[in-house]
Amino acid sequence: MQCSKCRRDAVIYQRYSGLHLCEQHFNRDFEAKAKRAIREHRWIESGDTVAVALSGSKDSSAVLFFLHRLLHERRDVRLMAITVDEGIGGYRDPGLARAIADTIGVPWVTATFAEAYGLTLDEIVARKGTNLSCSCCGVLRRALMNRIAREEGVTKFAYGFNLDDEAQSVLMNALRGDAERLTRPVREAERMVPRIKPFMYIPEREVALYAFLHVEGFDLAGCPYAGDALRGDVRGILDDYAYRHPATKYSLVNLGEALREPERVTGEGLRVCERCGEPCGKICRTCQILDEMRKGT
Amino acid sequence: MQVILPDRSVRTLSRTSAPIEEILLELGINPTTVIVVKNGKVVPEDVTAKKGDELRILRFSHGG
Ligand SMILES: [Zn+2]
Ligand SMILES: [Zn+2]
Repeated sequence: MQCSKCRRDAVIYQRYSGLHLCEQHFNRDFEAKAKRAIREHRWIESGDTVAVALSGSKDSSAVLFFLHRLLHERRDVRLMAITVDEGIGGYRDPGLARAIADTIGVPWVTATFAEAYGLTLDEIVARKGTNLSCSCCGVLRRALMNRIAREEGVTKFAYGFNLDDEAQSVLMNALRGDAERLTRPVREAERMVPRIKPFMYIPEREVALYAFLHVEGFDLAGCPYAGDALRGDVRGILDDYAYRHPATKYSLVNLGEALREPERVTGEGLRVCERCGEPCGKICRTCQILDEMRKGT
Repeated sequence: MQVILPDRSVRTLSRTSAPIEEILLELGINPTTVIVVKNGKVVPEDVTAKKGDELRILRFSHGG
């Protein structure tokens, strides 16, 4: 099958655009979409230090590769990678993330749950079970990322969230009837360092292909504890539906953006946890979780 | 043709020729949720696979 823009062999067929693209034209299309997302949201500015939350997954590896390609000639923007080792036995050795950052040529730092909290995720799972651990892990990981960010002068966190993630979130909020989440995305502690999502307009499959073409040694396996059953269901429903109606994921993401109220940038509602000094909404979730763990409840 | 499934198990199909999309659907796989590597090269799902071809199907995990 030939590329719609040249004579080379296609590597992908985009149902939603009707185009066949060769490797070169796929890269161009992919990077144009990511740049558009950055430009539209004014996500990267002069003086920024952008940190990629690098787990070693396809998404985070692809976003590191892309941002390095985009930024490596700029003297006014710094790029780095941060890997949090949650302590999950047999899963994602941080050495893997380090090798990816080294190969791409980006400075890399790491931190572990064990050192920061005196607990590994395996221990948390043993006490709390798989279901609750997933959200605890998220809270603890973000708190730790925030701490490193402050030490390193990070001004933006880059995540590999893709079109599918975004579309699933919008549909999940709709299915839950959660108008609050649809109109006001969560603004908790992690929002202290703004998050950027350069791949929000790019289908997951294309992020995987981009990683496959450019990054060696990324991890195809998912987290063994990932237990969001609703997201799994929604993913299946959405993939099946979008196979027949290819523009659906874009429609959902556009709907989500249209419903979202502009973020207020006042310091209103912002507090600091009395215990650890981390910024938080009301009560610091991180300290709550750690208290529960340490009490062994 | 030989098909290497995401779990690395191997299936040998007796068909002489078929569009990859058709093969995936028969295997119960949504074509937009995988990458297909034919004889070592990534190909779109509307490419035809023939006798003697090797298809490797890569499924990508969610998130991270
Ligand atoms: Zn081309
Ligand atoms: Zn606290």
